Amino acid sequence: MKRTILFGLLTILVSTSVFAEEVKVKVNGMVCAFCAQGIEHALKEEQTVEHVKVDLDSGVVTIHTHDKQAITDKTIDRIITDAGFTVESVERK
Amino acid sequence: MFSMVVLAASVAQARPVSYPDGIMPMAEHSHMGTIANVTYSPTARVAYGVQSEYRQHQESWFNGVIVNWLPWRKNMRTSQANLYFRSGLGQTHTRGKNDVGGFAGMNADWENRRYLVAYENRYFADGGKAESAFDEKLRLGIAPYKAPYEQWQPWFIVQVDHAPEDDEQVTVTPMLRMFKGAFLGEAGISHRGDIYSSVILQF
Repeated sequence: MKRTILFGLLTILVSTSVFAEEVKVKVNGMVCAFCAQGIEHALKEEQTVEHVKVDLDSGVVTIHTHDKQAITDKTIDRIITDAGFTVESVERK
Repeated sequence: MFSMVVLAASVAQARPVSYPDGIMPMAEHSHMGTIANVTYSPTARVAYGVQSEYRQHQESWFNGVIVNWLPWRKNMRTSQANLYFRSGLGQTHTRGKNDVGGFAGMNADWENRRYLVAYENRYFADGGKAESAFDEKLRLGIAPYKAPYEQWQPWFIVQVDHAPEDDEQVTVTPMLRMFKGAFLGEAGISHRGDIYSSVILQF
């Protein structure tokens, strides 16, 4: 039983530190392609970010980080605010 | 002495300020003349650039530096509202005479993914002529559907220009806007048959 719990904990630990992170950010004010492009460009400048997908219809920006790397809520908020938009929520998988 | 002249053409620029570190070239042709500018935005609040402009009615050139400023923006869940101030200072060349010229104006807009409302005005001053100029425009737009970011987004827009000092004070121009990624293009024909076109790139 102890071994199973330990294995589970190790699995969680490894999965959060080795694999890439997916973060869904709800952005307010993102209404056009120029807005989307600005946000995409700003996020891609961040070294931890590998891929950015923008969904204009839902106003959600999905960020994929590089393996073993993470991006903090504070960093996301700073980048999107500096780009001229407002973060409504951040959801992590 | 800095006297004024009628120079009734203003830039119907959808986004006078780009994203941080963004460069935005723009060109516009209308019944009033032709404008080309390129701006650089160090932040999402301000853009600096250069502009060259030919005003057809006045047979006058303007070449100068421009500053666009975004002092206020409201980001809402499905829409955005902005207030911009624009200004320019440079040299005018009117019928063989060079002088100092400049302009100041504002843009206010609101848009969501289906509708847009925009108003802008500009006051242009030219040291070479004892006249002053003010012009303004209103835009109403509707998108027939909401296209994904990766696809072309069409807009049907009606622009109403008002130039109080002109013989033809009001010009109505229906146009089609196509918007995708870093490209925004517009084309239309005014109620007097004049061609309108504009292109904006953002990178």
